[in-house]
Amino acid sequence: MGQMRRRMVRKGPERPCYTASMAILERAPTDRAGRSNEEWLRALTGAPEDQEAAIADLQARLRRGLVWYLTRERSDLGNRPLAELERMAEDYSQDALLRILKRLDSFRGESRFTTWATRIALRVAISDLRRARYRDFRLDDLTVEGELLPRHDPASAGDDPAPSPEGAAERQDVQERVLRALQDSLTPRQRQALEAVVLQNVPLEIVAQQMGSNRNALYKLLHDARRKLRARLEDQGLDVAYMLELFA
Amino acid sequence: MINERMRRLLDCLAAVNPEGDIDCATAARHFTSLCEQALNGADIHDILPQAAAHIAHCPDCQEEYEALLAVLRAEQSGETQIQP
Repeated sequence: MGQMRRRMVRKGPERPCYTASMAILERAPTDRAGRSNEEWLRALTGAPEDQEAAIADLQARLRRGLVWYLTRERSDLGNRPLAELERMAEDYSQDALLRILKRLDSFRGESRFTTWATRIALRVAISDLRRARYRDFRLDDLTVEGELLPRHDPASAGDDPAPSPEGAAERQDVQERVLRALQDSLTPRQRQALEAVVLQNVPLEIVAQQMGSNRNALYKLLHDARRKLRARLEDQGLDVAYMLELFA
Repeated sequence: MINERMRRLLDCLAAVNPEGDIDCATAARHFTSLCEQALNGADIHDILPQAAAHIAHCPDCQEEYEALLAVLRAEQSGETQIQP
């Protein structure tokens, strides 16, 4: 949250310090009246008084959306007090506003301006929440040279028993062949990415950051890994649909 | 547990598009217009199948797209006007 704590510096008189919930109630009529995309852009780049009003309206709208998102959509934040979530929404909306004002030129008018702005605000919030959640995650701690899919142990498979001894043997055979294909066809970096993103559900954004890469490059790395692995398995007569049925 | 990991791996293999895939930045450029059209009842698979496929298979993009759709839907219904 460190970077979210900074406050936006704007021209003009300082606004009174509303709480998020007060601002929600006070700004609602203005937003409902609505501005067209052109009106938003004109106001945000226009005279200081128009700019001030547009910024206040936009921030209030973003904050309302963020408060709703944090309180209704994020079950992982369910134990946080409302006041804390409102403070987070305030911080995110301010950070988002800075980005929006910097990037006005990149708005292409393919949607409503407020949709575009909301996307930026949510991106700010989601990225920060990901970083907070995976603060202690270390990609290097993953044992990429070890077994991505540990050897089948019937004694520890009580939660997911095979339908029969033959079925268990078939599963074990397939699993060993998949494991060999993982080792033979993928690079250590691809295996590491696959383990983190696919098997441990770590966000691409976090993994990419720790790999010194970016989301696009990591997505491509994973796509290539999946394609290679699938091709290797199909070469061995292992069809994905068959394997999915076997492990259903 | 082992079977669960196998299933996750196999699911991601099943989703491979042999014709290639668009990246996160390309897909994200369409999020706003796709969300607005989805809000009006459109099926995004009919509008931009490649972006829809990317959203389905990229967990980060899926989270961001669904968050935007949810907030827009809440705005449309007036839910964001209600104090939590």
